[in-house]
Amino acid sequence: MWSFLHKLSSPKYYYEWSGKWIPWLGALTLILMGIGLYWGLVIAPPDYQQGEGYRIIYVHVPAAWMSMFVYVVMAVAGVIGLIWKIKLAEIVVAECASIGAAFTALALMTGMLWGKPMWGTYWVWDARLTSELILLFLYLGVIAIYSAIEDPRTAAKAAAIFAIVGVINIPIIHYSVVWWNTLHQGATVTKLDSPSAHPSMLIPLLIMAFAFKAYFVWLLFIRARNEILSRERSTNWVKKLVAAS
Amino acid sequence: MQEFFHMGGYAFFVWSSYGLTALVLIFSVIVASRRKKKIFKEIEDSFED
Repeated sequence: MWSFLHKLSSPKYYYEWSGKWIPWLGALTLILMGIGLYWGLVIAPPDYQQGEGYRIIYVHVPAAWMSMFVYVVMAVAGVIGLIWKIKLAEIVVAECASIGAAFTALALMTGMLWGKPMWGTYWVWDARLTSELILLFLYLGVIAIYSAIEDPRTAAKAAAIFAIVGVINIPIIHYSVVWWNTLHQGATVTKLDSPSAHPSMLIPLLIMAFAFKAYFVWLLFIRARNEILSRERSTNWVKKLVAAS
Repeated sequence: MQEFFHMGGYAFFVWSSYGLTALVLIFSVIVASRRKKKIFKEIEDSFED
């Protein structure tokens, strides 16, 4: 395990290793998305309160979960980058910021599109929505640090510290529906002992969640590979690689 | 079939959500794979100098 992680920290090794995985991750994403979409849109029954409108859940909840998951990945990569000065970890922080911002924007937008028909409004300044909006700003903050500081290693350090401090927002988002009175409904799935969603709705939701996770890893691998290629462009292995193509 | 697209009157909200999600996810992958080609091309061009 450690020797594998050590090897992975070499840009050349990561480039070759990720190249093997990328097509499989793409295939896995497409298969899971296909099954999840068909199940969620066609097979799953309508909700007894929200009718067909609840089907937004199959994109909204996976996007919202990913918005938090990616943030944690980014912060962990930030810690690894700060302690061991591993270039790949620094790259993961930067790529996670872009991907996470996209998931957060999707969670917010699909949430607004769900809120309008069910609550009668696109937006309320309640705890869940506000803390998710803050998450978007945290991601944008990391992106801004990278574009403001020219030296990539200094930028990585600043961005990592910023990302790590921002982790405090993650439990706030998760528990916001418990700690404050909010329009947003409480947890349905993560109540581990007794999820309140019926299996006919829960299974497609979990499939979509895995599809989003596979998509994230897929896109992260592609983007990190690009970044490595770009940063290592003056090295011999990259020159050889390009010459051979 | 028409009933499916109608989504019990929630068509606009449901299909906008799915459309936006599809747009962002597909667009991100296209941008990333284009970037790879661009970087390859830049490195190739640098050989000629």
